[in-house]
Amino acid sequence: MEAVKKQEEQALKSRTLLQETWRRLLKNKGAVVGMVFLLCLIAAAVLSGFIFDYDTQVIGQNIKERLQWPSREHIFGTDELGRDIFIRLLYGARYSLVIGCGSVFIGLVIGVIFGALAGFYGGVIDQVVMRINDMLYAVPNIMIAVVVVSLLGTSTFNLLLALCVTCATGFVRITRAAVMTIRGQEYVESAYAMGLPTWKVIAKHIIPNCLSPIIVQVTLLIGTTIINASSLSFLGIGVPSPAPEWGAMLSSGRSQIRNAPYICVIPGLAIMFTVLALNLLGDGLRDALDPKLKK
Amino acid sequence: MEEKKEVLLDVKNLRVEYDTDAGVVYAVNGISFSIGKKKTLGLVGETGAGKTTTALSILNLVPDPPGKICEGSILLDGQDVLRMDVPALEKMRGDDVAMIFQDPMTALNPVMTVGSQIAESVMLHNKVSEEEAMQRAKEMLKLVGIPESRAGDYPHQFSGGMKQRVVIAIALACHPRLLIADEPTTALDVTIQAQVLSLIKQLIQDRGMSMLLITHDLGVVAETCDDVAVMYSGKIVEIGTADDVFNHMLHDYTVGLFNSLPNLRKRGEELQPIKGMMPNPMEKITGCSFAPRCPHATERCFHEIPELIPVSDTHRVACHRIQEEKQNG
Amino acid sequence: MAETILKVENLTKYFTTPRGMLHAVDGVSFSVEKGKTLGIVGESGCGKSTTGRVILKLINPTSGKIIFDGQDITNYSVRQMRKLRVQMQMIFQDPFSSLDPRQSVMQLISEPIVEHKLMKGKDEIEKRTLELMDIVGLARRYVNTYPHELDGGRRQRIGIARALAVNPKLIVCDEPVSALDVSIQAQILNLLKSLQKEFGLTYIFITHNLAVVRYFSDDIAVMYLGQMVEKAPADLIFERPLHPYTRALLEAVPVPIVGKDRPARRLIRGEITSPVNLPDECRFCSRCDYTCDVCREHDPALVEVEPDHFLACARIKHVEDAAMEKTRGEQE
Repeated sequence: MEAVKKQEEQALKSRTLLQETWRRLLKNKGAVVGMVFLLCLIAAAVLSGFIFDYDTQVIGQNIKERLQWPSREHIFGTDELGRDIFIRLLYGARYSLVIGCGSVFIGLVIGVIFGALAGFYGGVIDQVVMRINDMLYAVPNIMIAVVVVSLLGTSTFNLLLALCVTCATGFVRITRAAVMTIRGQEYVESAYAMGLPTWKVIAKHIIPNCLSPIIVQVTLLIGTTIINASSLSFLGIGVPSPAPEWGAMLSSGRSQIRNAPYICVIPGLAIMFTVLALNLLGDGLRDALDPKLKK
Repeated sequence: MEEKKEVLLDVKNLRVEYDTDAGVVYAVNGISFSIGKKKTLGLVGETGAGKTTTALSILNLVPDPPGKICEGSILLDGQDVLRMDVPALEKMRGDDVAMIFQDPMTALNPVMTVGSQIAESVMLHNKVSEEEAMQRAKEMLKLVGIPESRAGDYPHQFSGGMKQRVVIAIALACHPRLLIADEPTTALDVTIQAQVLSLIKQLIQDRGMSMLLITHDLGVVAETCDDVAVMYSGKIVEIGTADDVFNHMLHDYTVGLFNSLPNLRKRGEELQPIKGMMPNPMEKITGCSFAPRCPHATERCFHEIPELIPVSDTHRVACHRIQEEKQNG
Repeated sequence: MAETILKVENLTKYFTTPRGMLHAVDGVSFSVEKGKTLGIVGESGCGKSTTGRVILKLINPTSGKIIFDGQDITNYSVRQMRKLRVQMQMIFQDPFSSLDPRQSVMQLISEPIVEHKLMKGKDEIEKRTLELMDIVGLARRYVNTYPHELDGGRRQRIGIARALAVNPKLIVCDEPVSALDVSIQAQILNLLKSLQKEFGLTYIFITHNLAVVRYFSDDIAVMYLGQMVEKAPADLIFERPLHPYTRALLEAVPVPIVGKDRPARRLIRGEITSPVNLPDECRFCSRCDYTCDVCREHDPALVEVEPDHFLACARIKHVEDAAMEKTRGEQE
């Protein structure tokens, strides 16, 4: 009896939904591994700018040491111009991350705005937005990127622009679907009945509740975009050389693939592991955010 | 010995737990009851009382994981359901025991015609040709009050009440001896509910079947059941004939349930709800689970789990107070 | 003399669907006095929820008039309605979907106070929130919890606190207890009733549960397929139901009584017809036992058959005679 009373008096502190999600995410081993890998990658990308000198260590040629297999001095070996692959790889993480995150972010902003408009208002707006979206979706994304880059010229920023189109189409679809579901919920009606103006209803109640699928999409899309960016660099229309973009590094190793396969393999593995880490994290987030698993 | 012959289903000391992320949920905490042949038992209780878990246990269908039947036996005509192998279980489900679920909207396959869904269940348990099965399906439809001509229609072409009729037809297609109906009319409107209930009642009677009816609605129980068991947080607190429970109720929870009901015939009186809420099913309870809400709870109720004790031939209650009163005459 | 707080005249709401015009609400008129409760009863699809939402102008009516507290709000703009929301509120059916899962109890209850700038200063708003929690019987220790951690009864109390936060005059309760367990249902009904006494609230109580509505309402209106078929004071409608549908509805309710007192039960046949493209005939005629040609000729209007008792049935004489005969038969 006393125990019951004690429990009654004590004020309850609860976890917010965010904390709850975080707790569930930490239970997922794959997601934690992915997250740790990505944190290391981000640290490498940030720190490499301070540790290494771009002109001498990253792009500076050193013919004497060219094509050395991995050893104690060069743990990932050197490429055909004698540059240390390990240093270039760490430095190259910047390009992948900036392009991946940057274009996904731009795509996110554009996609969420149009997706929310289409989902919330429906009717003609929905029709127009979705048909344009379908058109963009139907064109292969590499093709869009090729067109954009060849019109604007090769540069990191143009590549970013080229890739964000693809991201935006994905976000439009996802946001629209989420908004359409949330719009029919009773708490949205309740917010109207309370006297909230439409924009507040959207900003306070609809968008925050759409975030789960969007966050998942963000992580998964960053991975896809990194692959796309590398593909374009591989084709020579991405980040201009001699910048150590992973795709470009892979491409430049092609000619030496018989006697120095590590030049291709190592950036390839870097891309693979980064995308894998992002996907693991994305899947983990999806499970952690899924309200159906909530007890 | 004579009494034993009459029993179709005998559940003894059933205990089911769900092992979840957040901890162990004690869903069913040692319940025992039996259903006689051609009898209908109503299992009444509120959300989370463990009614549906009990029903699923009888079919050995508790989702595992996270569910686990920890203890007990369920004898169906003398055979323990919990110790059957998979082929025997599959034969038992549908052949001996059939179940109707609450939501007729999700119980039917939307891409199959209702006729073929009934026929499918017929063919699963009987060696008959497709035509024969379809013929049986049409007969079943007629039986539940749907014209034969609609056998070729899809579920979405039916209304909620009609769908529930189809579900009943599927359940009864193989002449099971026991029907488990889990809130069969809760999703339906009052007038349709009345139709479906009387249909179930009549079919059960015509075919000499037994039924376990799970519901939260005391009115539905009064309408259909011979015997009633009241469940509260995983335990049966009172069990007896409908007359015992409705007219001579003893347990404070049962009394509270009846007092909570707004009376159709009287108006304006203040309702007397049971104070407080259901206990958290994740906490292992050491006393009477109803004690924190009970107006007559004593120290003993918090420390000692009350057993079901008979107060008459048919009527049993799990309450220390009643037991003491009985002992003291 | 009590003043009328809400008057609805010939309210209609049609929805255009691919199959034709859906008559959700079709010419409904009623008025509610201050401090009273009007119960609207009917089965799913009868338009009772739409009626509630049209009154609050969450949905715009197709035609008709809504007069709230002396002002004709039928053509009020969204902006004008927003100001009026402090006077008319709503309690929703499903306590699980009517609360934003991302808001804490504090945020949920204080939202309307903040939105309508009823109070200034964080402390004052917090104080009022806690006060509201006391009023609806929600222990203060839950102030920082989230809806998904609470059970249905407590959630519904949050919903009630949100509605009360702005000191409304009128509250539309849309099936406020049908998602709750019996024992919790009684707690919430008692709460709503005591709040009505304390704050002089007017309720429009929408439900399919006849026992609840009888317990709760002063007047009861029975709806069928978008129309009001009968309206009368609560006791009158239960003791002397006139419309065949009202009778059927009353007789269909399973009563928790066993033994000799158990009332006999009669079933009505058929199911509710589709509310799309309705012909001009009595809407109940396909299920009614007393149907004759008159019923199929045109739709009967709601008329006052005795003081305060309104009815829409062309065959009332026959229905009454038949009922008389039946009781006489039973007595013999």
